[in-house]
Amino acid sequence: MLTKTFAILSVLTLTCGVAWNQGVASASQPILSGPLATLDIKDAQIETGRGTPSGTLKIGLHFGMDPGWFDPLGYYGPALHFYYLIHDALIKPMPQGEFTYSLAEHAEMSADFRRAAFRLRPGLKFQDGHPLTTEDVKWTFENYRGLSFKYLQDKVENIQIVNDRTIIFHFKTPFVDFLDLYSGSGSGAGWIVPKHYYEQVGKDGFKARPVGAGPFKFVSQEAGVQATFAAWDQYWRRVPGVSTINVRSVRDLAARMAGLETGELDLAYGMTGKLLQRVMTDPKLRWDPNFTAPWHLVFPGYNERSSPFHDKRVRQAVSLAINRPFLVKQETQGIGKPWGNWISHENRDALRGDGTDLPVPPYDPSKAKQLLAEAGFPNGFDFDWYVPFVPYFDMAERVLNDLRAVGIRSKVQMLDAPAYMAQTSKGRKGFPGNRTIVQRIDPRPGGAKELIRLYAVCDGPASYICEPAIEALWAKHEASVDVAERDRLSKEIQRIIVDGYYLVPLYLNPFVHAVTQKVLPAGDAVHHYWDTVNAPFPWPWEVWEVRS
Amino acid sequence: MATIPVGAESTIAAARAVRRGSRVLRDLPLVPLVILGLLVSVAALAPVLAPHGKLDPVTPKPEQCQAKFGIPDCPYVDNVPPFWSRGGSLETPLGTDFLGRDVLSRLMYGARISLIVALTGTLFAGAIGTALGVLAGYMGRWWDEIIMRITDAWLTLPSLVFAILLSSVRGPGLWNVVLILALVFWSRYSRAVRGEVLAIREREFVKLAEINGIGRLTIIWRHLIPNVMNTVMVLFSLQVGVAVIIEASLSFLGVGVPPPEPSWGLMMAQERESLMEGRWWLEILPGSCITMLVLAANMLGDWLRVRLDPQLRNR
Repeated sequence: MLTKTFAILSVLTLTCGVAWNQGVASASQPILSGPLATLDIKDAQIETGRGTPSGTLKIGLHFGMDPGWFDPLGYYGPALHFYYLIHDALIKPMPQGEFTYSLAEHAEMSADFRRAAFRLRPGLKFQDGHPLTTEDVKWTFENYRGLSFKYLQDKVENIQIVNDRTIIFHFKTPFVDFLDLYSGSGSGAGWIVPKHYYEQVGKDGFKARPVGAGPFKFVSQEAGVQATFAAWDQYWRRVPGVSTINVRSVRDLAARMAGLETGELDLAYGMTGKLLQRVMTDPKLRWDPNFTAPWHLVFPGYNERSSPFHDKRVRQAVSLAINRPFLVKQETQGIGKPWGNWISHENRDALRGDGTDLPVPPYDPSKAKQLLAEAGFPNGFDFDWYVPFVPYFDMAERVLNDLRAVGIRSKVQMLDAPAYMAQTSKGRKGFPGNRTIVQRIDPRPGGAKELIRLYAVCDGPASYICEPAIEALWAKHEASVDVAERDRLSKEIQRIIVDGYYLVPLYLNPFVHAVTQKVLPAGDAVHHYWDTVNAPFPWPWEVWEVRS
Repeated sequence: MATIPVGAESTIAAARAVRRGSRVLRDLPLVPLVILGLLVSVAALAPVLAPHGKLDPVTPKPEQCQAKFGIPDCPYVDNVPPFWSRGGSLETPLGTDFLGRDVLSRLMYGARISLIVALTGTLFAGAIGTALGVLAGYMGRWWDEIIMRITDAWLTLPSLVFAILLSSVRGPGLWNVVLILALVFWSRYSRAVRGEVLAIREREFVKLAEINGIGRLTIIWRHLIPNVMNTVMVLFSLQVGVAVIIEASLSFLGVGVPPPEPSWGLMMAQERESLMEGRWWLEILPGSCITMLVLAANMLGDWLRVRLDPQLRNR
């Protein structure tokens, strides 16, 4: 009886909480004058009435950690894992939608895309108790130095602080994609850091002991090895479910597996590969396929004449040489999907690579050899390095094995995560020489155009591609404020990239995560942790619950 | 007076020869020599002896593909067990690895890599260290000061950590590992050789050579280096084992010889997961090869140390 009453009360409280929040959001007064663009931003799900946090969630990360990843001002993709723990953004991808209100309760964009305005929730504060205001929002934007910072800052004319809760960004030219970059997944500029604290401790001090407005407070770290976070019970959205989260770098798949089996870990990432079958058949484990993005190959310096990959036929031969179905079988027990695009279908305006929009690349080693001979390599050739994403070194050897079968030979360069990510984020500068193949993946929520901006245009911060045909379409894309036209142009560019073999897609990666029985809820309901579309990691962390 | 019968002299001489031969044989370190001989032979003749290639998977039979993947045609069959297990065959006596490559062949080629890296790395280290040690010991004064202070500083660096650091700077690669070994180990030679030279340079033959106006370089080349070679050889044989371990460790950590080359350390690293799956031989076999090589090198080094030191030899 008592349980029933409590359950009814909880449901009522929850419903009232959500309704109250929606009521506030809908009652928000407009900030900007004039016609507004239609924004599809979902309301945050505020869960009041949650109990106290309990238990520890121990996470096994599949690559080495970098303390720099605790600082959003130096954003890089995998660091989102930690931003969702320590920090919070105005708007961010959540299970409710790719754009979901978080620190902001209301946002607007003028119809001409020259202004964007946000209103913060009332009473926000950082974990040290200091109020979070628009001053912090402005300071974060102005001091952001991570991916795409120049592009973002060049676009902004000025930032107007209306009051402690209201801020307006004024752009020099229409900035249609502002929210794509500012929503948490495209850059770190929208993840708000405390100005007072950052100025006090400096960049290195902040990396060593970050403070944010997220659901978990930083407790301690062993640089590159592990970090511990404690629940912050004053987080605005809800009280976190677990009291402690410990993230460890466990590069070795066998060690992660052993960790899960012995209870040293409760959640482990990157379980594809040699032990996936063991994960899938272990009755004590539950796993989620967590399809993220397609693996693809890139050719730094391909557009230099001395590169063997300068010839399109060679790049095509690389694609034809790879036995994708067998690769998928070996690496993912068949749950991966051979894919014909380098962008996930879950990204907005992306072409599907399963034959719907773009064909699945065929496997034809004979034709690959023929193309190599036509390109002047009848006996194949050696290239310097094959650089795989960490720690998929076995997969790299499988791909190299396929390439060697048609005469393309090389060695695997095994970099650790911080080194790999530092090099790939520099684009062309990261890989001098022009005889390297880089195996890459970039799972992130958002529009396909953001990946094109990043990886496929001349000015892209991590781009290896610079093609006049793409530049012309991209210039049109940037000049247009017609969303439909921009989508069409984005798709046209994707097609050119695939048809020209500038990037060679492999397969849609199931980034398998496994959890132990300690993780709640029991059974298949656990899959709700992976509800955020195209998110590489199962955020938000505040919803995770474990048995104490 | 006793007389020796006709023909007995030759019999006695033969018996003495046999005794001498057996003494020499008894003194020889047979176990390390056999192991090293075997490994060197296998390494040298790997292209002839290995049943399959070192990089390419073994071409599977249709029935193997059918049994493993349910398809008649496949590029390779991974993790075939060794011949003594069910499902194994003598075609791949020690089974195949995760990429369908013959483990025995990779072990044979792996011996090449371990020996090349260890021997050349140690040789370079010996050459550098001996040259610097002789210079410091014979030239003295600021030569000695500079070289020995650098040597002392170098000796304080933990060899594996230092090797990893150098490897991250130089990048992976077989010849980079050789260079790293040379850079890590030269200081041990220079320290030991300098001590020897300090004693030798005071001996009469060196003094006489100096009095006779023989040039320093000639003295170093004719009188000092030949006299420190015993020490260098002992150090060399002892360092080879350490170099094998360093190479294997670097490859195991992913900063040594890059895949797909079959280094023993790398083979162990790549099959860590196999232990969990019960395929212990994929870990144990390369590990045993490393152990055998290191053990043999150390035993030989110990023997040399005793043989070349008159005090120890006559004890």
